Order: sequence, then C-alpha cells, then structure tokens
Amino acid sequence: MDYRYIKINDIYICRSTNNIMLLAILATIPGVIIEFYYFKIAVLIQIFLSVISSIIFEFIFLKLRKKNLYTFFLDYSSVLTGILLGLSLPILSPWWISIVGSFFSIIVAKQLYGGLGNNIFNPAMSGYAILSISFPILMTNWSFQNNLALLNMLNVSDMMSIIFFTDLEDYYKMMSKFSEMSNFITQSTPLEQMRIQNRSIVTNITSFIFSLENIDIYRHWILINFSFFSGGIFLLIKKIICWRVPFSFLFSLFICCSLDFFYFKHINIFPLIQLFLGSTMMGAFFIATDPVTTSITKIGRIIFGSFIGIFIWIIRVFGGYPDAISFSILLANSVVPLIDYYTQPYIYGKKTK
Amino acid sequence: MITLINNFKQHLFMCVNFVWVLIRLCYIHVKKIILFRKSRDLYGGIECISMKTSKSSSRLEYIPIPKKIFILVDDIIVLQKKIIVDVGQSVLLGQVLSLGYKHIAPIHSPVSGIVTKISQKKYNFFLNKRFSIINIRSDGKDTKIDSILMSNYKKFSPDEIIQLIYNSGVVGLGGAGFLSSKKLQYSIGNAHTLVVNAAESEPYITSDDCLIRNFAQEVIQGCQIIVWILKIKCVLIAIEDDKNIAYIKIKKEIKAFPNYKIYKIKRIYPSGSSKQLIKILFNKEVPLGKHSTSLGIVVFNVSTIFSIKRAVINGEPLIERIVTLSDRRLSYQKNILVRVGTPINYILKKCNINYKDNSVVIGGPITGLIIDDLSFPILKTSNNILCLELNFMDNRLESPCIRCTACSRTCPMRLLPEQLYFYSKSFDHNKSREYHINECIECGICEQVCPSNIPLLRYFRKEKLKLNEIIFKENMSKKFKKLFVSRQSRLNSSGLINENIIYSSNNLDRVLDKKVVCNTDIEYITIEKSQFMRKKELEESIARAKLKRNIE
Ligand code: SF4
Ligand code: SF4
Repeated sequence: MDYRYIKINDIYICRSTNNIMLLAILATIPGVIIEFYYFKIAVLIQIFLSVISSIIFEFIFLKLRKKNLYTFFLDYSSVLTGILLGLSLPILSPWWISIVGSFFSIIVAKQLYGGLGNNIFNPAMSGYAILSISFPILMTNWSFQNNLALLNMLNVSDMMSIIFFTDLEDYYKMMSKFSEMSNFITQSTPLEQMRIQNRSIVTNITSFIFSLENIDIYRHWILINFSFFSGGIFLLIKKIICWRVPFSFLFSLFICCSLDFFYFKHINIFPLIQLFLGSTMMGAFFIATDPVTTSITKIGRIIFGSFIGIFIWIIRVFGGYPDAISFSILLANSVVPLIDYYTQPYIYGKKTK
Repeated sequence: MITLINNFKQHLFMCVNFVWVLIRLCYIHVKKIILFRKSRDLYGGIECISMKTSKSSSRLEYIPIPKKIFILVDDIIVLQKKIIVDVGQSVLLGQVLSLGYKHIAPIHSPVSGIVTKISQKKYNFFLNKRFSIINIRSDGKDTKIDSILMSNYKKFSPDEIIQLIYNSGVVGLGGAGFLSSKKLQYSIGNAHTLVVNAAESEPYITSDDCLIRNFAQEVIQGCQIIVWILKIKCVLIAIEDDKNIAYIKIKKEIKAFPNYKIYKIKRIYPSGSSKQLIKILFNKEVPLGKHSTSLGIVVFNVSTIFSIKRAVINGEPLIERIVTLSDRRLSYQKNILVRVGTPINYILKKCNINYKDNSVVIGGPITGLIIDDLSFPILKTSNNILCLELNFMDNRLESPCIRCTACSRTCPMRLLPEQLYFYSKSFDHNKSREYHINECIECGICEQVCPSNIPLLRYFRKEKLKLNEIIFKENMSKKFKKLFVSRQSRLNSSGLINENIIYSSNNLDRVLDKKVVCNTDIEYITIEKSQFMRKKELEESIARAKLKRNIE
C-alpha cells in the first residue's frame, strides 16, 4: 500500500515534530541565560559537551541501525536531551561525566528501546540517574552552585582547567579543599542542605525560615527556577505541553510540602519557596512533560503528575539522594503503561446506555 | 482600642463577604461552562481554515454529455450475474444496467447509446479494488425510457414507495453509500425525528450548499415524502452557520410547515457526520454498536433527499449528481451537474483546468483518494474533485510517534489513535479490538493533526480489513469443524472414510486457496463464500452418494 495521503496546511496548520522540539529548546533559553549569568561559562561548557556528544552518539547509532538519517536525525530530540542533561549536571563536573551521561541517555535509554517514541524512560533523566548512582560524589558536588561567592573566585581559565584538565584524584582533593573553604557541607542541593542544617538547629525554627540571610543565599536558585517557569508558561501558551502534568506535579508537591511544614516539620522552609528551589521547575515543565514518556489520557496525566510530586517529597524527606526529581520521574515513567490502561476515556456512545 | 477592633471586624466581614460572592460567581460561571456550553459541542474536531466558499460556487454549471461513459460495477454483481445488458445492445436513458444485490443498489444507464465493452480493471488507489466497467457510447439524444411516476405518492403504500426508491438506485450521497431504501425500511415505526444533514462533510466541498440554493423547494418536497413514509413528527435541518443564503432560502420554504425547524451549527470538521450531528443537535450520543434509529432519529443527507424526490415525483433514477470542482487556493470553485460515470479527465478538460501538472484528488481533501488514472469515472458517492499542485507532499516523511496526544485530543469518537497505531503496527489484533478500532468513523482528523506525519487512517483501514479477515476465518473454521464432525459421524458407518477424507480435504484446500476477489465488505464476502462452500459441499455429497450407489 502506498503511503500517499493528503495533508495541506490550508486545512489545518499542524506543527511538525521537529518544530515542537525546536520550540521546547527555545523555551529553555531564558533558563540557560540566567544560569549563565550566575554560574558563568561553566554551564555553557556542560551543555555544549552533552549536546555535541549526544548528537554524535545518535548519529552513530542511527547509522548502525540503518535508519533514514534525514527524518530521524533532524527531529532535534537528541539536542533537547543534551540540553536538559547539561542543565541538570553539577557545573564543575569533569568533562567525561557529560559524555558518559549522554551515552547512557541516548544509547541505553533511547535507542536500545527502539528510538524516539518507543523509550519507556525519560532519556535525560535516566542518564542523570545512572551517573548519580555510579559517581555519587561527583554528582553531588553542588557547593559551587549554592555558594556564589566561591564561584566568583574562579575565572574562566580556572573553570576550564577544573573541567578539562583535572584527573579524578586531584578533583577529589580539590573538592574537599573547597568544601573546607565553604561553610557548607558539599553534598547537596539547597533542599538537602536545609534539611541537614535544620536537624542541628531544631530550636530556632521560625527565625530560620524567614531570616533573609538564608534565603538570600538561594536567591539565585529562585530566579533560575522562575526563568524556567516562564519558559514553561511559553510552552503552555503555545500548547506544546499539557497543563495537567506540571500543575498536578507542582500542586501535589506543594500539598506535601505544606503538610510537612505545618505538621511533620522535616524541612522547615515555606512550601511555596520549596517549589522554586533546586531544579523543580525544570523538572515540572521540561522533563516530566516529555510527551513520549508521559501518560496519554487526561486523567492519566494528572495521576502521573501527582505521583511525581508525592515521590519527590518522599525521596527528599526520607531518601538518601539529594535531587529526587530524576528518580521520581523514572519511577513514574515505569507506571505509565498501567495508568494508560486504567484511564482509558469512554468512547463515543459508551456513556449512554 | 475596642472601636479599632470593631472596625477591623467589620472590614474583615466585608472582605469575607466579597470574597464569598466572588467565589460563588466563579463557581456559577464554571458550572455554566461545563454544564451548558461544553456539552453541546462535539468532542474534538478541528476548525478547518479553508472551509470558505468563493462566489462562483453558488451557480450550478452544466457540461455537455460526454461521448464515452464508464460505469463501475462491483465485482460481486458480476459474480452473481446480475448485469442484464450485453455488449452491442442499445440502452436508453434510465434503463437498468445491473440489478441490485443485497446492499448494492441497481445501476441505471446515465445516457442513451450503445454498450460497447464490458471490461475489468483493478484500481490501485481505490483500496486495490477490482471493478467491472461497462463502457457506453452515447448517441447524444438522451431518449428516456418510460418510468413509473408516483407524483401522487400519498396514494401508494410506504412499501411501494420504498420499492420505487430502491429501484431508482438511490444511495446515501453523503459519502457512505448506504442504501436509502434500507434505511427507510429499518426506521419505519421507530423514528420520530428526521434530521436533514446539510452540513458539508469536508472543507472545499460546497455541493450541498449549491443544491439548497438552487433546489430548496425540491428538497422540502423530498422531506415531505420521507415524513409521509415514516410518519415523522418533526424535521430538523442542520446547516452551517456561514451559509446564509441557503439558510434564508430554506427558511422561506419551511414557513408553511410548523414542524420544520432549521438549526445553524458551528463550522467544525466532522459535524457533517451523522453521529456527531446528533450529538450537536440533541446532545445525545448514539449508543455503542447501534444505529441512530434507536434514538428515534433518522439522518439523511440533503442530496439524498433531493434524489429521493427526483425518483418519486419525477421518476428519474439516480444518474446525475452535483460535484464540486476546486483547487487549493479557491481560484476557481465550481459546482457542476454531471452524469454518473463521466470520466474525470473529461470534466477537467471541459472546465479548462490544466490537470497535467496537478495531482487530482477525488473526494474530500481529508479522506479523499489521490488518483493515478484520470479516466476514473464519477461515482454516485463522489462529491468533490480537488486539484492540488504536484509534489505538495515533499518533506512529509513519516517519523515516529512521539505520543503528543494531538490525535486523541481531536478524535471525535474519543478513541486513542496513538494506541491504535501502536497496536495495528505491531499486529496486535486483540488489543486493537479492545481499544475499539471498529468504532473509528474514518474521519481522518488524527492524520491531519499528527505532527509526525503518520498516515494513521491508512493503518486503521488496513487493520480493519485484517480484523475482518480474522473474524471471517474464525467463523469459517468453526463452520467447517461442525461440518466435519457431522460428516465424520455420517461416514463412520460406511467404509469409505479414508479415501474420502483425503479427497475432500484436498478439494477444500483448493477452494480456499482460490481467493474470491470480492471488494466489498469482507463480512459480506463471508456469507458469499460460505454459500459457495455450501453449494460445493452439497455437490460433493451428492457425488459421494452416487459413488456409493455405484459400488453397491
Ligand atoms: S498525533 Fe501523531 S505523533 Fe501525536 S500522538 Fe498521535 S500518532 Fe503520535
Ligand atoms: S479517523 Fe478514527 S481514530 Fe482518527 S480521529 Fe477519526 S474517528 Fe478518531
């Protein structure tokens, strides 16, 4: 049967797949710019490395699978994966980290499952998860991102030398040195840090919440998250992503956090601010909404989103891993087929008996 | 201090009141949206951009009768030997060429002339169907055959009128091609409402609009006939909201009848489909697996009603129809009255359209077929000829499904096309049946909105065919098992078992291998084939009996 069929833009203007991917890439740009403003050139280097390596991996693997390179390669999905991976890595991690990560995300998580559209797990997040399991110390090196004063001490050539020319032992040594310099414990995103701090300062809770100093350190995080949020809103307006996933995600996270804040008191930070820390917004608007790995029904998407939100909170409070987003998204991805099966919509004429 | 607190309390009270009122307003508003506005619309659907019409489309144009006419006849008719004309025989206008059979209507000669040839041809683009073609050379005189008139239809019984409608070969002209007489017969005594579907089924097509503008009175007469046959209480005419002239014309006509109503409906694509139309007009959904008559509603297309009127009052069989001719940019858009069987290249030539560097689509732009062979004739159900630039499909390569849900958001049947696509691609027939692939009305919306350019409709059609085949095979195997068992028990007494089993099974295989080239519904072929098999079986058993007797 020949596959000729009619599709004229005069009838209905529909975006093509690569157009959708391009717009998603565009929407990450404000986030990237703000991160660049705070974290300097290091962010761009990480993104560049992971994008280039993921494109190369995709190219090689498509060649091996003997696919039509033109259609499969030009859909920009590997670029988007690379950008998201690069954004979620610690900025001063060595160069091979991003390459290994993109190897896992492109080849293992995507192409081995049968290419775009057949992957069960989100490629960027599975790459990140594998990295954080295999190199836990490197991947939890957030001291630079949390302490901007530290970062400002480094110039471009320092960053380059840290990323490209340090071998692993030197790297560990340097990290411990830096962690002595900073007052903080190295191993954490801001949320983790607050958790640890809070356990030590149980008595002085209220002052901790609203004291400006503490919030001030994380002000840049809030700004970064806000820029991702605005990018997400752009995508929502363009109707590329569905509002159900990010909003149910954020809402359930908010509910859990406020429960925690008013009742359990594990993390004592105002729930709304919690939504703007770490990479929550990026997870909500760019990673969880990846169409391939989300549920396809409307109710299913709400369930999917709230599942992620609840799991993030559980992992953050009770689990050992600092950034819970990747693991909870992967967990939620694995239940998508089940959700899809049980939330099929009533077809026309089934409701009226 | 106390006054301060009091003041504060008052303020608080006011604030709370205000907020409460706001919340209630919001609540009422949301309720309104959810309960009243949304439910009247159909689910999904797309707003086509170019459903507009150009000015020239209102005029009905005529083209001279062609010299050569090709009539496509279904293969099943040939198998049943229902063609009643021979090569070299002269035919008159309106003479019956082939009798109807089951769900196929009788076919009439659209011109007077001589039958020159009856050939066979396979059309690749037309779902690989095989047709027999009756070639007729017209003599240009159009001498009519004498026909039965029922201009005083109230004197006849409904059954007689339905028989006449059947004999005139009227089929649903909206696209499905279902026998109108059968529809009428089913709905006698069940229906209380007639819906006249004047909504254009697809963009670019304006033939129904043109029909109403030119023959509004006759359409109402046709409605009257149906009202009389089915004893219908109320008639609803649904028309799209941008067809003002047609609306006014109908309104003028129906002033005399109090039980006629006309509705304007929104211009969303599958609103021309009967199920969706019922949803829009009555806010009811036709139950799964049932016909609209179970709700007491019959839906007829305008042009069908028009041809019913022509058949009953004027005694004309269905031999001509209005076809819209248009291109992509609407630089010309014409409605032409053509005889059924006119070859397409003749029409294009007569209308001075350069079709050499165009690809021609027959049917609407969404579900239509691109044709390779321009000698393909106009069928009873083809309502549109669309000329598109060649190679407009460049860069539209199929890429993988990214599960963006654009298709399931717009599917008017609330199916999940992405799942259906997945299952039909991996040949998981049970799953695709579970996801209701048979409920797909083949509107083609999912295909239009898909960002990955997946020809979903093709997959679904293929899958449906395959499903039908499987059901057919299941039925056949059950039947044969039954036959085999009974035969075994019969043969047990005689000593002929072994030879006969070998002999008969070989024969059965041979018969099954010989594919019956039917092109209509497989379901239908099932009956056909099983009858054939039964005949074979009978012959065989007779032969066996004879053999037995001989031995004895
Ligand atoms: S519209 Fe196309 S790409 Fe999107 S979910 Fe449906 S089949 Fe897949
Ligand atoms: S063709 Fe079938 S599956 Fe596709 S939108 Fe129409 S009814 Fe739904």
